[in-house]
Formats: sequence, C-alpha cells, structure tokens
Amino acid sequence: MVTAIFFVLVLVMAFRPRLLTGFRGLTYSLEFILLTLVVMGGYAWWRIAHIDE
Amino acid sequence: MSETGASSSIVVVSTFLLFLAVTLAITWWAARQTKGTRDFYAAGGRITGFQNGLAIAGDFMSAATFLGITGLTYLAGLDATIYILAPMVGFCLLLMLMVEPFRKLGRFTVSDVAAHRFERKSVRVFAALTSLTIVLLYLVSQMVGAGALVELLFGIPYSPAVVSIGALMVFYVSVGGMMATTWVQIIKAVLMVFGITVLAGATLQSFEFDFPRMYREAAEVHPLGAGIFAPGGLLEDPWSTISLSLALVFGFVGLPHIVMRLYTVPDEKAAYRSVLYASFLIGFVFILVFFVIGYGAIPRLHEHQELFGPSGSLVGGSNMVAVHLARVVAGDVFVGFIGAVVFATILAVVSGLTLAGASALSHDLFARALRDGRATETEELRITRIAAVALGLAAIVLAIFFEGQNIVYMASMVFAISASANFPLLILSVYWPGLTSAGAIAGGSVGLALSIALMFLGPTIWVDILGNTAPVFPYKYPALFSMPAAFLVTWAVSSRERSRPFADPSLR
Repeated sequence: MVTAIFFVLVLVMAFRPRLLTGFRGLTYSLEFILLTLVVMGGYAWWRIAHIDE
Repeated sequence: MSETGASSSIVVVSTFLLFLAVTLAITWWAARQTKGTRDFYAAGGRITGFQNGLAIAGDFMSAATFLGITGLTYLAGLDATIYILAPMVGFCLLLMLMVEPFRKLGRFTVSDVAAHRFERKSVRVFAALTSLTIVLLYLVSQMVGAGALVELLFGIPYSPAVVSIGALMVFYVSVGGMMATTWVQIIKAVLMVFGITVLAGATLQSFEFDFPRMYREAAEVHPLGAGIFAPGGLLEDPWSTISLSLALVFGFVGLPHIVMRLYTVPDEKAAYRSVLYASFLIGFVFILVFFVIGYGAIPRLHEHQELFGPSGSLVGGSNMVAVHLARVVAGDVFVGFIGAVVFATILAVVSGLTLAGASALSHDLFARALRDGRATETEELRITRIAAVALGLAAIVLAIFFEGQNIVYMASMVFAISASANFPLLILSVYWPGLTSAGAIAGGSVGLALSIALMFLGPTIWVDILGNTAPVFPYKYPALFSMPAAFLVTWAVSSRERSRPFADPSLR
C-alpha cells in the first residue's frame, strides 16, 4: 500500500505537477512519511507478536 | 585568525580527536572480541535491536544525505522530496518482504540469500560480483565527496584527505570487523541526530518558530519563487522522475552493506525492531533536513551576500548549504561541531561499505566458491583482512582518479545497478519457485549490463563528461528500462530451462 501510494505521488509529480502546487506537495510529503512510519510500526508490532506461533 | 574562527578550529580538532580516540579504543576492544567469522562478519549476533537500528541509520545516512538533500532542497525545493520518500518506501519493503527471508536463508551476505536454492556456484559468484560492483562504486562516490568536503571544511588537500580516510576505514574494518564498524556507526548516528536537531532548532528559532513566515520568506527570495513548493525544480522530464524513484526504492533493498546488518542481531524479532528503529530515526532526520533546514536556509543565507561568489553561486557549492546555515544561525563553534560530525559520517559509511565488499570477496568468492566451503575460519579471516586492504587501496586510487566527478550521479548509478541486478535476483530467489540458476544469471547480467550501458550513453556521461553533442539514450536514469528487462529475461530464461525435458536438475 505504501509503495503504491508513493508511486501514485511520483506519477502526479511527473505528469500532473499542478496538483501539487501551493503547500499541497509539502503537506502530502509530510503526511506520507508519517503514514509510512505508522504502517511500519503497526506491521512490525504485529509481526513480532506472531513470530513464535 | 579571529576569536570565533579559533574557537571553531578548537571545536573541530577536539571533537575529531575525541571521536578518533573513542573509535580506536573501540576497535582495540572489538579486535579482542573477534574470534571467528561470525564475530567478524556479524559481530557474533550480539548487537541489540536498538543498537542495530542506530547502526543501520548510521550506515545509511551518508554525508550526501545530510549535505546533499539540504543542498537539493535549497536549490530545487519540492523535487528533493523524492530523495527522502523513496528510502522510506525502501525501508518499508525491507521490513515487510525481506527481513524474514534474509534472517532464515542467509548467514552473512546478500549472496547467501540469492544462492540459497542453487547447488551450482555460479549464482553465488554472480551475486558476489554484483555486490562488489555496487560496493566499489558507492565507496568511490563517498570517497570523492569525502575528499572534497574535508578539503573545504578542514583545508586538507584532496589526495591526502582521501588517503587518510581510506587508511582509517581499512584499520577499523580489518582490525575490529563488524563490532568496531557497528560502534563507529552508532556513535556517528548519535552525533548526527544531535547536530541536525540543534541546527533545525536554531534555524526555527531564527524565524521565532513561525513556520509560515519561514516558507513565505523562502518563496520571496528564491529565484523559483513559489515554484519551490511545486514539482519540476530538479527533474525536468517525467520519465526521469519515475526512473529515479524506482532506482531509489528497489535499489535500497539490494544494498549489500544494509542487508549485512540484519545478521548482527540475535534473532528475527531484533531484526524487525532494528529496521523499525532505523526507519523512525531516519524519518525524523529527513523531516528536519527537508522541511526545516533546507527551506530555512533559503532566506537565511540570502541575507548574507558574503557567502556568494561573483557569479552568484554559493561559496563551496550547494553541498555547503548546511555548513553555511550552521554558521549563520548557530555560530562558528557549532560549525566546528558539524564539521566533525561530517567527518564521522564519512568514516562510518565507508567502513560499512568496505566490510560488505571484503565479505563478498572472502566469504562468497574465496570460502564458498573457490574453496567449496572447506576453508578454515583462520584462512577466511586472513583473506577478509587482505580483501579490506585491497578494497581500500582500490577505492583510494579510484577516488583520486575520479576527483571532481558528479557524486550524486555516481550514487544514483549504485541504486540503479542494485535495483536492476541485485533486487530481481533477491526477490525472485525468495518468492518465485520457478527461478532457475540460468535465469537468475541471465536476468541479473542483463540488468547489470543495461543499467551501466544506459547511464554511460545517457546525457550525464555521454554529453556532459565525454563532450558528445547528443546522448544515445535520452534519459538520465535507466532503472525504468533496465529493471523490467532484468525481470523479463529472468522469467523467459527460467521458463525455457524448466520446459526442457532433460534439463540438469541442478539448474532448477
């Protein structure tokens, strides 16, 4: 999911840069980093909890 | 010399000497702990998840990460975001797809994983050679940048600077192995995070912690105006943007010196924790470097015209943005500290790379391929130390030869090669039962050769360096073409091999 969102963002940067004018580009970048960290944290927590099963 | 200049020099020298004394003491201690190959390559698996997270962050965050991303943001604004988002995605892929198989299938190196299913040695040899190509190219790009930075920061001429860095990295690796390298990386990561946090705090304080004011002032004085908040400042065509992103994301997963760190912890849980800690630390640094330091530098440096040369460009180039900003917002003494942090950063990254290269030569090529797993630990360790010295010498000579070359492009070549040769081999050997050794080698070779050839024929080398009028390959970054080609050839050759009725079973 994170990878897909990243490449959607890259495609928008490449082909529809106007969608990221103003502070939208900065905001999306910050939100993406935070989302990635939350997803990774959740996955790692789940994975570690199930490793011995 | 002014009073502040003298204070700055005292801070540089004292911080640097303290770092050197501590790391040399650690190397001596680590050498006493290192008895066999597992100690040398993987610190005996005795590093904790948190320590390894710090070390991974220290291994990954090069001087280019700190100085380069700050400079790119200062010059081009939003496009620099690709350089911070892509590694975050790379870490996510590493965590979700690769930690478990790397821990279960590998022992010390990338080649252990790539070759785990094949009886023939050819896949291991190929993976080791690809790892060596990646390590050597990355090492040379880091050394070229390091030599230039040390020259700028400390006034030491380029060649002696490169030789000194090379000698220190060979000493750390050949004497202390992974344990010494890990602690050098941990100390560097702590210093770097502290330095960047203080610099970001001082930058924000200079705007009275008013974010909108900082961004507004940046847009007012930057040549791109509000364009610094929009794409297009750096990557001129869409295909380059996509290609670079692919290389940075998938290339990261195949970097030998990062993968190797997963074997230094005692179990899989600690491996997951270490990737997670590293990601949080790197995410924190990226946020400060991109959103605060890079954008905050634009108005602050603009107020100091003495920092610009007659042509209007920044003294020392865009890599010096963070250093100039440190002087402007935090004073000369803090610049001294940042200089020492940069030096520590360089040493930590090149040491990790040298260890990865030396282990590919000794563990994969000598012990497993040449001696068929029958080499003694003493023999293997001797070869590792010789390999570290040889790799160090090669990196020093090549770095002197490539002085002045574009290091950002050299580093992006590393990621393109890793994404096109190492990543397909690793992911398919783990997740695709149909992969054959012939398919792995054919696909990897195509990825390796195509990525190098397309970069050579592209605008940066063919036109800018070799002076030809037009590029044969029109795009700067090849991964968009070389990576799918590698997957396609791997699939085609593997399918053909499996359909042959009398195929050698060892090919499977």
